[in-house]
Amino acid sequence: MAMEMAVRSTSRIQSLVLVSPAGISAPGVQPAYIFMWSPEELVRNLFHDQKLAEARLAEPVTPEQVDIALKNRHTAARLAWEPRLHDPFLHKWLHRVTVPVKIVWGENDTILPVAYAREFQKLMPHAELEIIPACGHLPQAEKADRFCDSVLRFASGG
Amino acid sequence: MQVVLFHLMPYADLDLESARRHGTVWVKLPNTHFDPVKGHKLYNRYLDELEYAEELGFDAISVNEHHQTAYGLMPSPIVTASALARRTKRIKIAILGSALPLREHPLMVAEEHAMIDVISGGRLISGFVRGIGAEYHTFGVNPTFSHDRFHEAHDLIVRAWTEPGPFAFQGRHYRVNYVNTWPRPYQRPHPPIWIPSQGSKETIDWASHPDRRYTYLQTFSPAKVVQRYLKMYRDTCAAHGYAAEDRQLGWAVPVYVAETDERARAEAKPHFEAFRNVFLKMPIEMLLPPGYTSRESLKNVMKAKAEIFGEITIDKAIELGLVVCGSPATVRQAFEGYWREMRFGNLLVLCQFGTLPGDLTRKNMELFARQVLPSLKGLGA
Repeated sequence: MAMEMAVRSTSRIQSLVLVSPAGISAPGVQPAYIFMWSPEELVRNLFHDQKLAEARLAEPVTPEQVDIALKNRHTAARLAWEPRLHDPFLHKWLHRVTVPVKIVWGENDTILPVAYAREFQKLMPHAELEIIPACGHLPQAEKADRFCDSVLRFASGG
Repeated sequence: MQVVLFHLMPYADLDLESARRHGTVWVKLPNTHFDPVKGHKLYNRYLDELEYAEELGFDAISVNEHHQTAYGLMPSPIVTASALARRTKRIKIAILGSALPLREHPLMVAEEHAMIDVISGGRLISGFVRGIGAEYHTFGVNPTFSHDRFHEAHDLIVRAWTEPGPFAFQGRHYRVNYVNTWPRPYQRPHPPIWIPSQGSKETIDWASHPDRRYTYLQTFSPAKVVQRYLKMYRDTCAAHGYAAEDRQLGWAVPVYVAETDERARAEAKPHFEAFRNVFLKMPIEMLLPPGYTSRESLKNVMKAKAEIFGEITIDKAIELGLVVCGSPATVRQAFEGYWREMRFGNLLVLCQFGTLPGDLTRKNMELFARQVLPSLKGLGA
């Protein structure tokens, strides 16, 4: 979403932090088939550290959360079932993103493998890429301290 | 009542142990499980069984469409229906149905069905379905547009069959400047349209609408569920301001008839249980991708998950009315009883299911046709 906005105009965007985003295709790699996963598999595959997944799974689920999850899943399918998790035209326009960009990716992301991070960097050569070891699809949750430090440093121009 | 012999053409030579290890025979079961030499024998055996139904006095024979699965070897029901159109003379041929949203273009469906109708001299019954959820994984077609595409494809097909061409069609999914289908169907205004469903309020509302009055078929559900949905169909017609005719209702169910109740149960058991517990089995995420059903329907399925996805024995299935099985007298009485409660004008019997071999399938068909069928035909007449 952020990239779709940025390729149109960056007049109101100072800088961009991209955290394991979907949006492009990359040669020889496919996103995981998330729509075939059960809710439990989805949680397990979000995290590299399975202790975090188990903690998440142990939390009680309210009927409201079930509704939200189903609605999110529906919207994800509506937007990204086919073409799967990418906009086939976005890559042509990414050169228009001229503001500073930081890409953060978990090294062990099973949903969007780290090859996507490298492809993004090819398309936006000025972007700063940070790959976080021992980390899944959610660096902001799995490695929150490191993630916050580096985003704050980037945002303050350091 | 109109009685239809329905065939799924499963890959009956399937290695069941291997299939169980894979968890499902849909979408992901490697096609190395399929042996083309065995497939050749099966296709010809199954087509022979369908053709035999004409001799036995059934009113119609039926084929359907499923993809990338051992459950049914008919990715194109057009192929099987075409073969049957030439080898039969009087019996109706039902395609139940073509999966409209999965097809690249609905005009191809309009053309193919019209061809079979013309070749057979007006013996085609056209069925339209959305395809099951698993098939949206197979083709990559977006399931959240499934209802939309289905309705628009249906509108285009019926207009192509009934309005003089050429005319332009501007839809959200299909846009054509020259709709001008050759051949036009043999039957006027068009072949009867049947709508098979596993039970959905949305489908019932749509099929029962006074502009359509399509035959609604409830497939493979416990008798109580069949009764609930057929009643819902009648109630919906009443709310539309007309009384449903019996011909608008149908039930598709596996049937096994043998000399005695005990023998029927024993002979059908391994084959029915393979059908129910191996061929039909798939994870809920495969069966119901997002958007294929409403959120409410999806939550209902999740609640009944154990019941729907658990394994069951033939005894339990008979008790639930998921299969009708027994001596000719037992089967006759069961259907007469169900008919009095539901008044369905069409009964689709699946005489081959799962791994049921050729000799038992023929014996089943013969006993059913000779000792059950005659009394059913009189119902509602």
